Amino acid sequence: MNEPLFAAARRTSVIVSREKELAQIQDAIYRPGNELRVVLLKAEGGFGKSRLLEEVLWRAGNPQARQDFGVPAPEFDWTKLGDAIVANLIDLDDIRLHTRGFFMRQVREALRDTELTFARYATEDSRQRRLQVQQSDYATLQKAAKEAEDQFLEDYKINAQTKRIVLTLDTAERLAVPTSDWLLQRGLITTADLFFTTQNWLAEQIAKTCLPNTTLIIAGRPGEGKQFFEEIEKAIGRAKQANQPCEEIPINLEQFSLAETHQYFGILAQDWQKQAQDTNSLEAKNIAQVFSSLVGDNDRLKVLWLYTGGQPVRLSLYADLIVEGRTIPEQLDDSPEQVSQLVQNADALKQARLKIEDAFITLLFEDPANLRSQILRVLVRAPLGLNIDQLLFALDAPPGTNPKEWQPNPELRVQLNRELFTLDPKLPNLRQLSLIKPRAKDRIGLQDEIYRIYAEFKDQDPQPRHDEHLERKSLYTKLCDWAAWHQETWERKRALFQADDEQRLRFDSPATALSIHFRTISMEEQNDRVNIVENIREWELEHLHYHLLHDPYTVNDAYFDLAEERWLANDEEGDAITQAVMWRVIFDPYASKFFELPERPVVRARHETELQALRRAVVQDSVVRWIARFVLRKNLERANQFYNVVEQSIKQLSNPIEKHSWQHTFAFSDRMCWREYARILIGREMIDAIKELERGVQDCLKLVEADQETVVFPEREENGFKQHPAEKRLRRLIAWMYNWIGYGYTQLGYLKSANQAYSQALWNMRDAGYDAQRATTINNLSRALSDLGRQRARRLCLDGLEIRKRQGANIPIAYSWNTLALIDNDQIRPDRAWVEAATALAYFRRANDPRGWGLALIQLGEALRRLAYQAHQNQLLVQGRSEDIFEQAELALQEAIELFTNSPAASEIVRRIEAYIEMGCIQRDRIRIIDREKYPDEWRYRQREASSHLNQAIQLAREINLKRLELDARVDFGWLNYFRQDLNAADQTAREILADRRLVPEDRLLREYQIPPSAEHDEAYVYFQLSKLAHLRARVAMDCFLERVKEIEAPYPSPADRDKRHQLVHDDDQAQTHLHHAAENYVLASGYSHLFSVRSVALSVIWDTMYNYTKKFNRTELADFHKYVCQAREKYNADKIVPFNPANADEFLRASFGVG
Amino acid sequence: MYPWEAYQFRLYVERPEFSRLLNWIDDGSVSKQVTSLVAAPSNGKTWFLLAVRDKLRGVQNSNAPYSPKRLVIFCNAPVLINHDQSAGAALNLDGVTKWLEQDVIIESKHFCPTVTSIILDRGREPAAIVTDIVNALAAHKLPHTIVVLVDGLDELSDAQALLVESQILEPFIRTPNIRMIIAHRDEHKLRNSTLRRNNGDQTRLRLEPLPLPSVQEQFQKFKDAFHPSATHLTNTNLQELCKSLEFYRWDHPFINNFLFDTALKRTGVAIAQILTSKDLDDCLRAVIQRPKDANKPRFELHPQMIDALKAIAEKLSDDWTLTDLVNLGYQDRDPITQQLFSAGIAFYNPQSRRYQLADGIRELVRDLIKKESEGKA
Repeated sequence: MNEPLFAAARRTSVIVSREKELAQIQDAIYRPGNELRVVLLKAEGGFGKSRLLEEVLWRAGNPQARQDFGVPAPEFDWTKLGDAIVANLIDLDDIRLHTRGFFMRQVREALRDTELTFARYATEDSRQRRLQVQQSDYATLQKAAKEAEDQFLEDYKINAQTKRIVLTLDTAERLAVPTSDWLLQRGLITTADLFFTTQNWLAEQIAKTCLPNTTLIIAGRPGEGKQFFEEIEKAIGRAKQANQPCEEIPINLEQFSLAETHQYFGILAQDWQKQAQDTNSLEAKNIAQVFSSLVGDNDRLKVLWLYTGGQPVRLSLYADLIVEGRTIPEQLDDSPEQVSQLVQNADALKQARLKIEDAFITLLFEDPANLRSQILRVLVRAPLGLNIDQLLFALDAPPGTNPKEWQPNPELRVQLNRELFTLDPKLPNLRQLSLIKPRAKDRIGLQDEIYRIYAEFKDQDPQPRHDEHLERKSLYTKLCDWAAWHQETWERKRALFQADDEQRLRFDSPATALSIHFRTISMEEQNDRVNIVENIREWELEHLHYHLLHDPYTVNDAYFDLAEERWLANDEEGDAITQAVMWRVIFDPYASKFFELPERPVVRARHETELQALRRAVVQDSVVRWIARFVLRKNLERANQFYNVVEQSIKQLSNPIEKHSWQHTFAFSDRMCWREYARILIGREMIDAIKELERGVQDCLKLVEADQETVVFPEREENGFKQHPAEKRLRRLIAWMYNWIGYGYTQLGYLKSANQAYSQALWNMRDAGYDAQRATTINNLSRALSDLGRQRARRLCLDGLEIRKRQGANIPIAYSWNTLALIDNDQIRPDRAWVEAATALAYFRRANDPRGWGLALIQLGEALRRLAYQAHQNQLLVQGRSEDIFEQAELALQEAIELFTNSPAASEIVRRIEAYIEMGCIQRDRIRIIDREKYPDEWRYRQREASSHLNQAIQLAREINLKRLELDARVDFGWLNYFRQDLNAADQTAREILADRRLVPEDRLLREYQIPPSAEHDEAYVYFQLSKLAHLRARVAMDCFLERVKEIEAPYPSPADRDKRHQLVHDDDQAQTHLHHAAENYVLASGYSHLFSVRSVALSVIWDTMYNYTKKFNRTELADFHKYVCQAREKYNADKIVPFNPANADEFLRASFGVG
Repeated sequence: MYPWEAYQFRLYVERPEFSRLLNWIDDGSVSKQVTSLVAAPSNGKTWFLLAVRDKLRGVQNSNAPYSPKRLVIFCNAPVLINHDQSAGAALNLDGVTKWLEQDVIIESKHFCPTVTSIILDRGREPAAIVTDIVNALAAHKLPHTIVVLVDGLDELSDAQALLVESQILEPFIRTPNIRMIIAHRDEHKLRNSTLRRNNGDQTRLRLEPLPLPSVQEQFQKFKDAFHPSATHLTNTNLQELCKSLEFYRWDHPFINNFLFDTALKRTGVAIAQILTSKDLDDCLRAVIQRPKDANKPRFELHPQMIDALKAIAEKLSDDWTLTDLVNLGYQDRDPITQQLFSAGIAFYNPQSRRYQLADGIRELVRDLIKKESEGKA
């Protein structure tokens, strides 16, 4: 068995040539001055950028490099030239480094072993991470990120005052922003939009020279990194234009010259001779001989140089073949003249290279009995790099092994450890080989060029390509399982602390509801939690990465699942990183050679490949993500404006295939969906937005329901999507559109339409995962159902809460708690609602999410208001005084109004109106418990406050034409009049409302001797409010009746006159009119309540008050009242009211799941 | 070791590669001095080398007095090595001296009497002694190319092979008039830099399976030598025997001999049924283990290895990927799989860029499976 030594792939003891470049960098570090010097080190792959950076770090005294490679000889030791702090290398290959927050953290990490401190930044960053983990509101997160950034730059400047800081960044081409080129070229995405990206952040810091006294060495490939380097060069230009102290040092690394190639082999020969002497190894001596003979053989050397193009990585691989390939490829025996001629012909050179590379592919990757070869075989297929556990699992576990149940082979672990870490002069570990590239978190990968060479080689013929595809699929399945298991492990830890948090909440008394918080945890525990959540995110991304490699069409579900989960959790950076992960896989030039996408005739007819079609879809998605991102930023006008300019730009596209693709109903609807959502959130033109979405839904449904052979829109040449790889994604889009339609209808009060839209959304996302989106829709649906008076809303909401708890998403969990509170408030269960609202509040407060915070306060306020009144009436075992509970309710609403007026949540006027209404109701209900005689001032104050808040609500609702809330506020105003005992005003208000056909359409009214209106009307809230109005009028009439009874009976106080008194009342027209009126309005109230919902809790309130009145009636009064009720029931055809039937299983399934 | 395994030129069946190799030896335009003769285990490399040796020496007839026409040195590498594991990679100086004496000096003496003056001093490095011999031969300016034939190098560890290559073989090719033929498995590689440089990829000679017409010749020679009186199986009904196996193509010299021997020994059975599943199983074990002189197997054969072989031969196509192997339940890290690769029974074929079982063995296993299932039925 032959043990490969990779003799030429070892790092040489001395760097080959590069004197000029080293001198330039040395000068950029040690020349006096405190300007920012940006070294742009550009070279194609395999030209030795990383090796040069490593040399710089070593010479300049980076502690890590010195630890790895020892102390340099005096002639290479730069530390005597001056004081410079040299940070560890930052490899931008780590996708998390695409966002500024993580990048800054990494800069700090790279300087950790030095004397510099970033103490204040560390505190801010820790806070920022905590908020991120808690999924705080977008604005809060941005504020915290800005504060952390400011502190970072502040700390950095202080550190740079004494010594120059050297930062080295490798693989900079990876920082290119994943988005459509034409978006950038046409300036549709501006620098300001990209503020969260590292590329933009770096450019800004350079332009503003925020990194003083710094040498920033950025290495990357000029081709793939063109966009990035141009941005940096522009930034340097901007700094210079502004006379800022900034300097550019461009270095273009060339391939080795023939002389340098000679030098390279000379150094290799020396290194091996030394090893032969040190170890007395025949093997080393033999290898030294190979290199020595090469050095002495100009022809062979030239042939090698010509074939490799002087590319260092190829030189080392080709040289390795000479040492230990199965045979030395015959091409390397060609004469220099032959090869000089051959290299003129690119195709011939490629063919010759492929033949040579055949040999080292076999040498490196195909030795089945050699562990190194096995390791390399796994690594070359896993471009993210792997740690030892992943390697062990990949090598050792049989297919289908559940990582949880896997028992690792201890012997193999020992062997792997030896291969990766053991220092042995005879056999360097894999990490010491130049073809290996260490990655973050103790992972190893390969030099980029190796992935390319391997992929190009395997891609030559169909059979090896297919074999490679299958081998990769098998590996990716394992790595997917591995990532999923780790993700689950961390998720379990998160679930534990989240459950613990909730269990520790103490709900002692509603009178102290506002002081309920999650317990304060130590910094250490906080860091643990941050660590847990960050681990989950890392493994989720890793899982996505391998999932996509395993099946690129996963882009249509797993990618969107994760991206939307991030989006729903306000995590813009997470959303961007998720997109970058997906983008990197789909556009990976090497891995993508082994995607085997099922052939689609439609695509082939366009002379495209399936991969090209997929990539175009991904590019189109990048535009959609921008609109969604603007929505997330609450930059709703920008979303609208961006959408418009994008549509204009699409119209101007010259390539008809490209234009057709961008204008395809699916692609267009995807963009339109988010734009219309933005318009709904703005609150203007809501109906237009909903109609637009409905049109989009109808078109998309036609597409999704037809097979691919069916032409759906001939004029647009669009076929169906059944069995199409993007069918699921189209379903998802339809679900989103339905969801926004439902949301819009809910805002307008069209609850039945909302219900229908939400249930259709659920139908379209059925069996497809989409957990985050599904939970959101379920939550929205439960709210709509509750507003319709359906009791199953609670069950549904709990279902959504369960999904969200599984996902561990704090803010969505809090929203579910809040919806539960809302449902329980609707069902007049304040005893449950206050606990739920307080729980939601604790989440929102911890995450500093003003919108959720405000919403939870409104629900809490409502629950407390009801509890306070119940406490006043001693109806319930409520702990706490009524006044104290009212006090809490009032404080809650003060805070809510403040949040919806002066915070990032202020853009949602609807919420402010709701807060005003609730505050009005709280003040109104306080009047009910205040003794007007004893506390006239307070009574007046409360009624003024109630009146003022309700009037503000009415005015605002009218301004934005929100009839639902206007009607609500006006009805509440009527009740305010009633509770302040102004019965005339109360009745007058009620009559005014009833006469207002804008708010109360004619066809919703119960008319004398006419068929009752249909319960199926969309704006069901109207019936609810009519019921409240009728109830109000019934009580006014009852009170008037009682007042009149008092007047009639006053002259006859004697018990003996009882019958007389009863008769007088019975005969009194005025009294009977009141009683008649009350009976009629009770009938109407119950009728409207019945129309609203057969199980409406309003009905029990109505019967409660009627009972309270009638229980004191004498027989005559009761008989009269009963007679009037019967008459009214006949008059209004109460028996002919056909309410919603809750026992209809068909309706139940339709409304809950959208089936049918 | 079976009696019929001992080399005799009269039993040798010439293969197409034979003349190609002879042509290469005498082709003055060839730039490389070393070529590799590659084949899977038991495919007749040793016999091939020995036949080349005898043919070049012109001593095919063992009854004639020994008078070689050309200097041909045969080197069986394992005898030069000290196989005591505790010694690490070391030469077996007794073996080296004996070889130098008997196979090099005595043979060279026929062409260059001065070599006898070279003292085989155990204190000197073998390389120095070989160099002296080679120098003496060079000084003598022989009219023909000297041929060095090397066998068994792939049975040594890396370090042992390098030692033999550097101390024994390399000095030979410092002289242009020497050609060296090294027999080894295709996946084996030479280590010594000088040998490697002189070992051209294009001259590598791959021993192809035995062509069908040669089977009859092999059978006839075998029968004449070991079963001359057998009448139940002759060249006239050999086809029947061949057809009794569905998969095996009768293209593997060792397996052929084993099966001929078995069939010729057994009488009273119809030729079509003469080979039993046990015979095939025995044959399989023999071809893998190939016991050496002391009947010590070259490769240990575990029962699980037979199971693995059967699974691969039955369920996979002629060539396969590691994923196929894994799907079969055999990880490439498993000791059993590793043994298959180490013994050269399974290997990576750079031509097909897939893995395979050695030709002949694969078909034998398939027939074994068939016979076993027929037996059970």
